Amino acid sequence: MRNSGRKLRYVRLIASYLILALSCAVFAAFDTAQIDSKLAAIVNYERGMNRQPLIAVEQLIRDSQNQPEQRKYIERRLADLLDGAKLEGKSFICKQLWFIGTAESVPAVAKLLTDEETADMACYAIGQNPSPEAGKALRDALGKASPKLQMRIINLLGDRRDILSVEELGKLVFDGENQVAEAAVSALGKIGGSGSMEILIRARAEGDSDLLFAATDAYLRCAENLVAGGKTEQASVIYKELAGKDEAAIIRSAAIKGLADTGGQGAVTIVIAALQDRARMVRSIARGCVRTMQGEDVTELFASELPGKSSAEQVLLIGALADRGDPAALTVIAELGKSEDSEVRKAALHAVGKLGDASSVGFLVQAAAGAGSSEEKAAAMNSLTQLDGDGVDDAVVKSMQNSQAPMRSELIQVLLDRNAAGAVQALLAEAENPDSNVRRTAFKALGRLAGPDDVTSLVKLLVQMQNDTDRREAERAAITVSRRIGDEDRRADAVLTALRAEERVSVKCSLLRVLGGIANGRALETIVDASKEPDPAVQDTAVRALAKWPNAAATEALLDIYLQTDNRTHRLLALRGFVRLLALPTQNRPMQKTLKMCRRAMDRADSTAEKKLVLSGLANVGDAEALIIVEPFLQTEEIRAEAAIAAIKIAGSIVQTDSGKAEIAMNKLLAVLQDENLRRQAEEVLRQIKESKADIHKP
Amino acid sequence: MSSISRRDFLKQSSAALTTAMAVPCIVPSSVFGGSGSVPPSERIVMGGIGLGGQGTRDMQNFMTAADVQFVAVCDAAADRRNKAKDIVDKNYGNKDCTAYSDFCKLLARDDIDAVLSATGDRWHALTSIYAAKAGKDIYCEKPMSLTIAEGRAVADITKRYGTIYQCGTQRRSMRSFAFAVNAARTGKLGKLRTLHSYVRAGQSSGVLKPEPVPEGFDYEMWLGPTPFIPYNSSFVSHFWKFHFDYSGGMITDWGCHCNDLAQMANDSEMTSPVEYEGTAEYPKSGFCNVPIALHVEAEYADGVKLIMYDKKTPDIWPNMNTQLSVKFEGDEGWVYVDDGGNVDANPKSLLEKRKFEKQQWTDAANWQGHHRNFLDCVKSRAQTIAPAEVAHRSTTICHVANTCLRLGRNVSWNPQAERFVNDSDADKMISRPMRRPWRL
Repeated sequence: MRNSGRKLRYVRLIASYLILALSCAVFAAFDTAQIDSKLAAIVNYERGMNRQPLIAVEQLIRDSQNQPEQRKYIERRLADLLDGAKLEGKSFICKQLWFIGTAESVPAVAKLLTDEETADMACYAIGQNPSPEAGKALRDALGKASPKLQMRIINLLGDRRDILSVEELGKLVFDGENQVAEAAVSALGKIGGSGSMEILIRARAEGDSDLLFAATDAYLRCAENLVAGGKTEQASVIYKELAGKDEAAIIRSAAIKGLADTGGQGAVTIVIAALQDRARMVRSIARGCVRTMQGEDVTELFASELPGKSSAEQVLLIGALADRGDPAALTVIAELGKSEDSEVRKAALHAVGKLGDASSVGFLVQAAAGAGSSEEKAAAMNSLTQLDGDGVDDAVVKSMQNSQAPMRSELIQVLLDRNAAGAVQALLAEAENPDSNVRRTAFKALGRLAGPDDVTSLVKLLVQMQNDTDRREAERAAITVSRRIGDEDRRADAVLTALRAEERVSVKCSLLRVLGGIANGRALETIVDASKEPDPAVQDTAVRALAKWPNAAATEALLDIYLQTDNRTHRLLALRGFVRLLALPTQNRPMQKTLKMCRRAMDRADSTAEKKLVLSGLANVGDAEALIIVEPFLQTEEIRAEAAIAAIKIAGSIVQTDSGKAEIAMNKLLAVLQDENLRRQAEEVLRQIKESKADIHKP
Repeated sequence: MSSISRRDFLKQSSAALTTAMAVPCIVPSSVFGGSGSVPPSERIVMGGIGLGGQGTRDMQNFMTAADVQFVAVCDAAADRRNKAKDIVDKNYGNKDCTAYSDFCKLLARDDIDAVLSATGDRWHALTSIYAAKAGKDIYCEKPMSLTIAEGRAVADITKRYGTIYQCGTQRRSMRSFAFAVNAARTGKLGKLRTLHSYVRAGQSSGVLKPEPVPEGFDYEMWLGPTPFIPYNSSFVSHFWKFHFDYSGGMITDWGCHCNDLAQMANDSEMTSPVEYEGTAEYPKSGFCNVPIALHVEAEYADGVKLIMYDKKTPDIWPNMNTQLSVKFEGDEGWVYVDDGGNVDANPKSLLEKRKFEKQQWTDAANWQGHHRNFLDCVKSRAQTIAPAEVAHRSTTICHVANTCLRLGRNVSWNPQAERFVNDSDADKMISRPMRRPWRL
């Protein structure tokens, strides 16, 4: 006994030391005086005052994230301050307790719950507080609050799914004021459970008629809770009850939808009946259910409703069945493709696109061919594009091959839209069709669908073309498909082979245009050579191809033509091309070479127009030496503006690399320049130079 | 505003629904291949709630459809509602449009099939809920909610009543954004890795001092379910967007567009990222209290990242303008789109099949697809392109990101349970109590 008493004293002593040590640790972890001072500053806060004290407290709370003891201290102190704070201070404290509140702050907040002036803010503070004490405080306040405040508290009890308040809420449903009763049924709907449901059933049966909608809405919510809890059968009972004829249309609609969603027994029958309901809202909701309802043979059952409906209803029901995506409705819908009503026919044709397969191609092609309007035809063609499944592309090819010219072209377009890569061989054959539209559409499709292995065939077709109009489409296809060859060096092989064997000038020109589109190194060499050929057509084609070259590789060749040709057209084309290519990435061409080319071009320029062109090209040469080439032209009035634009652009691009020269050039420019807009641009470059220098001198 | 009005609305709408049904028995104009002249019996009768700049734009766009007839407008501010009424009357050449200050009275009308709600954020969820209960279909401006709980309530009630709901995330229907989304969804970018979302930063202000409420302005109704604050004209016109009690700041304002597009691109519209980390800077003084600088990185369960930015840097963004922008990045390329209609991609070949003109987000033609989709769905009862559940998931990302920033630490989100993972502080922010008499 003595021994155990000694032990107890020993344990107490150790415990005391532990508590002391813990307290020291706790208090050492944060500065309570500083916290108190920050919190005290919010007590007298009023609207319109500086919010800095509030912001400091918000930060203090954020900073206490991982320090539960500090957080607890703050909550306790906020609760202490609540009573003495001014109204705005109270409101602020409550907003903080919204997310840091625990059982600790409940007593202080509870005092505000029944005061008209503070009830809203108190609810804010306590509403999300998960402690049982918070629930109890709300239930306790319910009995003391005015009806207005009761509503507020009831809403919170509902949001908290406070099962302990069901009985009290039940009393208020029948004894409370109207709005209180309405809030109570709504809360019971959220809380759910058998107790709530019993009250709601009674409220629907005996309660104020004003309460009926709110109680029924709550009852529906209970059904949803049951579904969420896996009790679909119980939910179905509620839905069936509410789907009865005596209910308001919106309630019946919701109940039918609930039944359809849960797939309860007899749901299909109810939805089918609803499709013919006297109320439009119910019919409309039922159609929505057709889209989503699960179950065996459901599609067939809904589809069997189609024949007896009005045209307008048929259109809507066909759309809903199409959205189900179940081919079981296809036969009935396809039959309606022959309806006397054009809207029904269109809807059916659209639906076949969603539900059909390869076997529907013939039907759709036939419908398109015999369509009564362009819209109907568009519906059929669109559906041909949409059809899914194996063999559809083959079926379209077969139909295309069996069709006459106009439809043949349209079916080629369908193959193109379907991205039917397997149709390439058939399309190559169509490229030789006697009808020019078919040929052109076929080449268009080949451009999209053919692959690198088809390039030789395409070039062969191109060579065989009899006129330039056909050839242009073939050229486009050959270029596009050649560019798909992975190895860039090999892209022009097939065209070069054909070119070597070709004697006819028009075909040679065509092949050169294709090479210009392919634009690889070998194509460039060939075209440069062609630009020197004696035949004027070949030469012209080559120069034009170079002038349109898509990368900087042709820059030098174009300059050579510009410097050497006597043909004024070619000279201008070459200069324009040269200037355009100066703006493109240089492909590792040394700057000195670019500058040399520009000087040569400028030396050759013999008109103001040509000089302006060269200046516009120089503007894209980001080097200080380009400024030297430009500078003399600032003295010539008729091209001063172009020279100034070039100088400003060059200077702007060398601000970081050669700011000294850029600065000198801009100052020189400003000395001779009158145009206000250009002066502003030059001054902007000087400002950037100054800024860049300041950046360099920053520590 | 009064609670009486709300109650009257419930009674009237319930009674009205028993007798006259609101849903038009009409077929989608798209089925007919266009609108053209539409008999009155086949028109969708609409009312507009909240008709400031955005609401008016929406309403005017809706009125370009031949199968729409606006008959009522509602705004807490007399000048706005009168102006809206004038616009409607002028459009139809009559004086038939009725102006209300209480939306419940508008919803109680049994001749209205659908409503446009373009109020401030604080009202979006409640107007949607009351409209659904009144049997009206809803086009609601974004963000669809002020809290996650509000979004859930809207998604639930529209499901309950089979309501057609379209969130005003109209970029879903703009061809430029749809092009980018489609590139991502069809695998043209390879496996998606990162979704970039440029949401811009919030603003700050000085102290907003109380001012007298202007005559004809129902300020109580304007505040609705949010905490009381004395009237101030700058607050009412603009700065409510930058105070957490009334909005989520730019994270919800632009985020619910950008993050929504990211969700669409990632084919993850029914879920959301699960991990969030971020940093924010808040105003040090003045009225506003949403982030003035922010960066949030969220991660989906499969590792795809969604990053929200307040500023652009050249290493990420091909266009450094300040327009609302998204960029989707995969193993094999990326695509970028912004509100100016600028589109860029890598490889450039992705742009070859682009079949649309460059349009600014403000171009009316750029909006009509979204409005048309809503109208067609009202008729066909098919799901819209931005239904409540989808909008709720996208908006949830914004709310969770905001929670992460406000708490100043990482958070984990469970999209199935719609709760934070072992985080009671964060869970409390899922919902906020509403002011009397409003409730979810």
